[in-house]
Amino acid sequence: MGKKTLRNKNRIGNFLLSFQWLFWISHSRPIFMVIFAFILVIKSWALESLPNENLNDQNYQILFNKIEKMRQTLAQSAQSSGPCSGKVSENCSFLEICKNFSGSEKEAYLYQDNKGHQLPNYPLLSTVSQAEACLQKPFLKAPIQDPFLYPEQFINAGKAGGKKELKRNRNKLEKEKRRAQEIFKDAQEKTISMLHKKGNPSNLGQIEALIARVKSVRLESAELGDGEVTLSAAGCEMPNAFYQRESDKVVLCPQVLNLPEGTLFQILSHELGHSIDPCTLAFSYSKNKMLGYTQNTSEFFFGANEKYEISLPAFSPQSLPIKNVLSCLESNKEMDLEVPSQSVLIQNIKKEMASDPENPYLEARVEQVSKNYNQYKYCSAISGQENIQEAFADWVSAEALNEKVSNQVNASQNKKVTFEFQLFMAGIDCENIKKASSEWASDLKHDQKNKCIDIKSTLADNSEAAKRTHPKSQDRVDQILLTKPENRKALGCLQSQTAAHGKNCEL
Amino acid sequence: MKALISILLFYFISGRSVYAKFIDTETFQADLNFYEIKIERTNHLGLHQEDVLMKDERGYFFNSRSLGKKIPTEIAEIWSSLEKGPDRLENGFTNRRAACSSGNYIYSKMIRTGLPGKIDQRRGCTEGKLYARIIQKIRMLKDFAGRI
Ligand SMILES: [Zn+2]
Repeated sequence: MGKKTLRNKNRIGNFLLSFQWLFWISHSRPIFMVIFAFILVIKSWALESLPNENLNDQNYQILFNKIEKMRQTLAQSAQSSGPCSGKVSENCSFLEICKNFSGSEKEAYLYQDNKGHQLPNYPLLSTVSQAEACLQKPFLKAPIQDPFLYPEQFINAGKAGGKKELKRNRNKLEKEKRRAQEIFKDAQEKTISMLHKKGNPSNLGQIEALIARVKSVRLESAELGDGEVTLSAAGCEMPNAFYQRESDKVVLCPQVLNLPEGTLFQILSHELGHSIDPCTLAFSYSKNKMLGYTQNTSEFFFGANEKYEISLPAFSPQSLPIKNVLSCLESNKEMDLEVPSQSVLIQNIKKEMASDPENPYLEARVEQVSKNYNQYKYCSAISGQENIQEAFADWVSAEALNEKVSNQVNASQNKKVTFEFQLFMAGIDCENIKKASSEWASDLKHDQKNKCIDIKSTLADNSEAAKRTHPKSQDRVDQILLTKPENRKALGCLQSQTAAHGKNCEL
Repeated sequence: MKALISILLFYFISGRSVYAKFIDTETFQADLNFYEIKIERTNHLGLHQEDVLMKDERGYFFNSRSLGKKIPTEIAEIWSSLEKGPDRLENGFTNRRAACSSGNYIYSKMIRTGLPGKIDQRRGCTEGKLYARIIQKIRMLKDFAGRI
């Protein structure tokens, strides 16, 4: 558009924005006043008749019935769910594992062990929760009575279905907390004995340092408090688990406590893996009587060279005891794990700054990268990505499982625990499971008038931002878990590796 | 004269979307009131959730659901605090973190200018009191949307 035309348009635009025209109309002939009133009526009619919800609307009734039917389907499948076992063909792969769920993609639970521990169908449950929010009045009860899915059933007797049910839910919570502590202890022992076995006269000191780190970690179950707010503050808005570097703790959210044993073993050994990942190892830790182990961060934030009494020493990227595993994982081009160089990082941030010049966060990031790259390049505050830490934590958990199943002779128990190990990733990322929930979502999208047009079909995040936080689930299973010989044996896979699998990385 | 009447007529009937086309950066301020805010979060287990607040000539919308043209004072307060958004520097730095362990959120606000939208993005960790306050406010909007 030419400059002149733009200026003319601006003139008209500014004229319309100003009140000059009102002045002009009121000083003109009465006919204009009549036209003006007429226009106002038409304008308000046009705006009011924009799509709006209407309880008596036939479309609304159709929507309500659809959602009600979804809730019933969930409730029925939850009631009829029973123990199941995983079957995987000998050409083991993530895609083969996904075939297990064929036919049960529209059920509330995708898997259940013989003690009632379950893997919920998170994508489907999320779709239904979002769909319910489209209705004029909320349902008083959740579609399923399961406090691990709806934590308010741990807190509120009304939501739980009565005082007796509330008490039962709380007892169950305490029981599952104790079970989680046992699984955590097991994961810690297996990780330590795996590390022991990797020791030799030349790396003994480094192995001891890694073991001391794994031993120092404590498990903490997040408290429920008043529900959503307390849980969100603790990092538990959704089912979650994570290693908190500042306090050297693994935090486990109540929503995941009823997962099957192998699934919790994977989650907890992965989190323990973060206690020796390349970002955590860049920091030293001090031991405090009251707080336990705490991360020393003043060098990172202030460049201060404070004198701490160090219990767990820091490692530079060059002296990392895990550097062979890192370079082996990085060499797997499928996973895109390489940390960009310092100059590339700074260049990229400066590009962002050009379009957002006053963003103080970007300025702080340039400063951090310039100052801290050499020691802390594996931390996401520097590198802007977490893939390498995540792949490394997966390597630790795959090794811990390898240790667990090689110590146990019961083949069916080994198969069960190995199948359960990858369940969480499969449950949120198998295409057939995601497709089922997006089918339900799009069934509600047809009618734009009911405002249910924006339901996201799945909880698994495949956005560009997410690619910087975790490797793809398929890679986590094929390129890491199934490269370990004992894991393959436990699952009944052919021992010869197929092209789909990556290298078996060693320390 | 006829031309002027037609312009006025066109403007009133079709609502603000037409005059938005007249706006460029000089008059940008005029349309700051129309925007879309997305609060996306992905936790450490890879679970994802997002909520969308939108305001345009038709009124307020929460996750595509109309809240009407006018909202009660207490809801308006919640709305405007979410509109203001979290501190741009939060991102773990002020929390003394070298990485977000529980997960990350991205707050993005797109202001409707009639030209390609201007996006204001902020990031932070999915834990802590500040984050919990954001989630609490989103819950209040959800509950309000469920009542009307
Ligand atoms: Zn992780």
